[in-house]
Amino acid sequence: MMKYVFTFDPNRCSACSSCMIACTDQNDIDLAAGEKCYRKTYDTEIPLDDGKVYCAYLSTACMHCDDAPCIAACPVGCISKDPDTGFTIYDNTNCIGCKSCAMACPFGAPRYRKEDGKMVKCDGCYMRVKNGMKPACVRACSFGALDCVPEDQVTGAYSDKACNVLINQAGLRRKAH
Amino acid sequence: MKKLAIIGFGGAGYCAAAAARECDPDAHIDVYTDTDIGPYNPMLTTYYVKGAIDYDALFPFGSLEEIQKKLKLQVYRDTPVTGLIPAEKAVCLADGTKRAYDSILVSTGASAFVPKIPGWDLPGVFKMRTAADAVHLKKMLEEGKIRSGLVVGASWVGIKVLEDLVERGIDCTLIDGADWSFSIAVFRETADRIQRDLEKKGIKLAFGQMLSHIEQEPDGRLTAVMKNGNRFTADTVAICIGIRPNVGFLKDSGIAMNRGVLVDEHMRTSAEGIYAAGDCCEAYDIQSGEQKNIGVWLNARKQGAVAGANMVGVKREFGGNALLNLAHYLDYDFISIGDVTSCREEDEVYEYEDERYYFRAVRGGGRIKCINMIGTADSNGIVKSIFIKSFENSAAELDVSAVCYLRANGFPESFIEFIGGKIVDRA
Amino acid sequence: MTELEKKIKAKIPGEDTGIEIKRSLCAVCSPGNHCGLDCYVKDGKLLKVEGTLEHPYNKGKICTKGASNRDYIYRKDRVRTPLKRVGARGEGKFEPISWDEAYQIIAEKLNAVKEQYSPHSVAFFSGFCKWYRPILHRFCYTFGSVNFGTDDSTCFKSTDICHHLTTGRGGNGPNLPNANTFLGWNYGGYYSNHLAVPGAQALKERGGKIIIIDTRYTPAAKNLADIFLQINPGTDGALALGMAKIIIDNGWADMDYIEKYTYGFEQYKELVQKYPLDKVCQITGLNPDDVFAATKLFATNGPAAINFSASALAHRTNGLQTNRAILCLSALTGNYDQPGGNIPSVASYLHKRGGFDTREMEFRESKRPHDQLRIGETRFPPWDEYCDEFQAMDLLRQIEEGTPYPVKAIVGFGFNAKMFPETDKLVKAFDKLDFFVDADMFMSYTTRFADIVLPSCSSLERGEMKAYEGGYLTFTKPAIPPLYESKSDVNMLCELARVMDLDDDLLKAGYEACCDWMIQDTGLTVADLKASDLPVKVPGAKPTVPGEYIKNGFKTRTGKFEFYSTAIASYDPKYGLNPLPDYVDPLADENDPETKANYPFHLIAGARIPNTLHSRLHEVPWLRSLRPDPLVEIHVDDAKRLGIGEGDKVALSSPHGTIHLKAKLTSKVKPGVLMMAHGYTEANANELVGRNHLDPYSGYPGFKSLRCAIRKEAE
Repeated sequence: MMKYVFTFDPNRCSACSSCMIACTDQNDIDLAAGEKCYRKTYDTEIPLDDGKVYCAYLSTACMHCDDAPCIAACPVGCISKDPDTGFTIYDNTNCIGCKSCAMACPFGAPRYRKEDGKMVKCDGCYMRVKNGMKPACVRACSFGALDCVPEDQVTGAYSDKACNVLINQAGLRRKAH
Repeated sequence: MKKLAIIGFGGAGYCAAAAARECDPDAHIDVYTDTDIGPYNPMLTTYYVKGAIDYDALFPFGSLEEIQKKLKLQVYRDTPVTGLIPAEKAVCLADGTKRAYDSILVSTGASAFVPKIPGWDLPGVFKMRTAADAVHLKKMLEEGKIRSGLVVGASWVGIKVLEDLVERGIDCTLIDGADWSFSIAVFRETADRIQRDLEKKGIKLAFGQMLSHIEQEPDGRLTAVMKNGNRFTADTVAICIGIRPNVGFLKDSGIAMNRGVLVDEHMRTSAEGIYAAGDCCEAYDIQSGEQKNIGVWLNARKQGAVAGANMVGVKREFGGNALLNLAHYLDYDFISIGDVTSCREEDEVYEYEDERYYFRAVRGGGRIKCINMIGTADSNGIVKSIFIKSFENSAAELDVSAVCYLRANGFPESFIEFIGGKIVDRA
Repeated sequence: MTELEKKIKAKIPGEDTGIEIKRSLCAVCSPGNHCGLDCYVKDGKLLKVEGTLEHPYNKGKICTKGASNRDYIYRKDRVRTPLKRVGARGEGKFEPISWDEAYQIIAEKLNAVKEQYSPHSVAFFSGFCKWYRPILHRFCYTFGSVNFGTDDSTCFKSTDICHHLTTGRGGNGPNLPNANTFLGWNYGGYYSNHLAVPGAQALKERGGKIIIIDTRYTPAAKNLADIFLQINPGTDGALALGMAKIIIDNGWADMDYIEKYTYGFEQYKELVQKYPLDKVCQITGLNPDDVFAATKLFATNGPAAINFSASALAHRTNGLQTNRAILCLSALTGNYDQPGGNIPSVASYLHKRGGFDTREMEFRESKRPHDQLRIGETRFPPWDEYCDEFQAMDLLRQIEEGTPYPVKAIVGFGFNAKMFPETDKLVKAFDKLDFFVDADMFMSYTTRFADIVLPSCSSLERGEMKAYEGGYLTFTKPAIPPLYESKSDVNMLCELARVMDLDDDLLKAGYEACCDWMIQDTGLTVADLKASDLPVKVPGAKPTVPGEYIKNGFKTRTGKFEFYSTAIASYDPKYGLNPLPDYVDPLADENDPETKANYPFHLIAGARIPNTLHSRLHEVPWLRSLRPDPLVEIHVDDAKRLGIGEGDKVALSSPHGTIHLKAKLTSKVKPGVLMMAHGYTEANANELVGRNHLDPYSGYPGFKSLRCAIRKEAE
């Protein structure tokens, strides 16, 4: 199974949110109706003990964990792994909106959509990736903060560069198979 | 070739079979089930009743036939196991048949507990656990004759049954013997807010009411009579006072049990070669370090998968339970994380309330003990993950992404501080 | 879902899905950018956009705003038909009319003003998007009016004038590929010029050094800076002069270069002696060690390139001279027109440098009338000398006062009244006009005051000519047909020229004929360009070669880089302009004790945020969702002192007005500084700006340095 991973370099991000807009454009997310984008950026200031302030710029979405806890948590079996990309995909036809996936996810990736009472989340643009394209958010990142690459290419340049820092911090690093 | 038996075929049994098959393509796997339907999730029953899903969707792994074929299982339908002989690793059936295995999994789940009080079997009195219960209630509601209902038991099931009734415009009263709702899982103060919000939705509440018996009125309506003499009358009565692990058939086996079968991190019981998983077992709770029965779907699946792998010789461990209770009903949600009963007077308490959220959390002995949150569904996973991390490391702080997320969702800074503060990795 | 349904949902282009990628360009921002766009189209509907990977300019990259093109184009308030005002001016009541009727009314009204007053009483004004300017400019001149004006009155031109005054050339962009040090003066990049970031990232990655100077702690300061100087707003000129003194005192100046290529060094050297480090740090609020370290790095780790912004520094009453003081550092260290320094260049078409010539200038100049002063002429001498447009910052006065002659009609294209200080007074002054026609994509704040509104289409709905760096020209084809009855701005103008029967056969022949005329020396035709979906390389286009310009002498009066501007020296002393780039307090006109006491904060209005540019993007729902409310950023300590919490309603006021918005608490700005984005209708920063708070050199308003007060408002 070919697998792809999202990489994120926080030292290139500015929370400009073009990734969010691209995600919205790709997935027809109705922001005006209060729907939330699958990807979310953050521009946050965190006071430090030494009186200084850390300015965080982040872009997060589903981490597509190897051992994605949402898959087993879903009582109706909506969520699965796409065999071609390794992304965590879903078919929410039977979704009951019970939010079990949100409770299982350490990143808050699944979102409850009020309009139809169903869960939605980032599917890694797996159909685009299967068709040789980059995910919409990656394509819109002008600064190289976000990328999506086959797992075996996550070496060298990225290994010392906080590749997928978020997933590492949460101890859910994707395992190499 | 290894010979395995799986007793009971719900989420745990299925995941055990799937894991065993994945690890050992040649193993012979017998499955004993007391039904003729596939594994289903009891939590889905009320969703079927309200029409959120079709009947088929109760069965997330497919039909029994499909599963049998896919996992190459020998399935014995409608075949309850009546006893187990650990020394021989044998299962006993009602007809006297005895079959020996290399390893056996007990994954018999749990049943809704209905005390055999007078009137428990009157028409119109119902429980909610099985697919048949769901079919029964749906049919009853679709007949359209029910105008009023009593739900006895402000429990996780009770509240979902209540939702099924209320969404059909049925006038409802929620009754419980405890002084407040969800009393084993939430703080009194949390319950107060939950109850206020329930009442705002037009639901009548009656707490501190112990059910004595049920009478039928001349007009056919039902009256639930309380031990204190109070009487509540309605067209139907739901009894949702709790579940009991299905372990009666093990009582003479000598396998160590409490409420459920005690298991270690490999899902092994006290008897060699016998495993247990799911709602019928008690695995380690990471908070207390003791074995506890925590019956949730995700646990059942994980425990089943661990047991299945170990049964064919592939070592896996179950990382442990944390007490977790999530309720989501009538466009409302709350969660309790951790053990509310472990909290003591001298512990440090945090409370916050606004229109959207309610938080109450307790810290003691340098650790978070219990967190109650209302209205936070999207963020529950993050807080749960922080809670679990705090057991691995009591000084655990929130990483930048968690802080960002919680802030963006309107969590107060003081709560973020209380559950761990912030860490910034400036590598 | 079937595989095909999944592909359709995922918008995968292909014959099976019926989704086609059409090439166009993004025109939500200034023509200085205009990135190539891949438009995913099905059945004439735009499904999504992406940057064109094969495009030589943006190489697939687009920004937050560009990524919103679909939402921008399908904005609900698109003007759908020509409209005629039926209510009172500003009331917003219109009725649809036909194009024919609209043209007839416009022709009649403009000719009436021409007859009753003079053709100059009709002012032609262009806001965004600027692509049609050559056509509008020529139309204006052919009609007989000298009064062509644009938003250049407040953007880009001040920096350009400064560079022409000093070096005789514009451009002067940083040559990052060859630089060792980048002096990112007011370099934001991330939120304002996304294509400028990769170059800075690459420089850093190969070991180059970056200095960022800004009033706020930006993503560039965090991600790129080796040294970050958080400067007091508007004091950049003092810093530049102080740096010059350090450079000269330490012997880091390139005396050979100075000798050979510059003019007025001695006077400049004398000037900078007035700026010792301690005084500079007192003015700028910086740490002396940091200033010294930054100066040393810039002067000794060359080649060093400097960032010049189109508006950040120019939007101060001392803006032009500040930019001059900074530009002088380039020559002082011998970096000007040297590899890795700042390289002058000449625009080919619409501000874009393609390394080839077009006849854009001749196209309009050949029709220029010379029988009247432009609006604002004689008020700002450097503007008069270096810009062939009226300075719109005098428009309000001239409409109100009618001197030296009345302005009675405005032909606007994307006219944005919110660009003007004292916006409220300007729209009131529209009452004195006989006629106001405005073409726009949207029913904007300004169109409400128009007599006739014309529906413009977007760049995706039209064909347009565009030059790009690297010697490219393109002529796009519409990706989708124009929505409703909208038209391309240039088609409106050429059609109107026919209706009015202007004496201009070329204009009447249409846009493509005009373009063919302008590019006749390139060896290409519009037909050649249209044959390609991507920009076409112009035969014989020459890259800008560092050092080539200064070899043959600067195009200044002295033929040198002018520390001492002989042009400024030539202006009437009554203007009080200084040939040397001395520093003046940006609040000099607001420093009387009473104003100081009542308006203690320093407001920076118009600071860039990622999701907006000027006014029209505020109303794009996707973009608006990123920051739903107008916010003023205030330092956490100030907020605490004033009892202002996150998201609290606050009022900002100046002697000119009061606006209401919400507070955003931050540590990214200094105490005493307030910062906000501009262009909001409900919180228009320019209502706080006085009409005479202007840079006397350029006429630019001091948007980014003005006095202001803030108070918490009751819920």
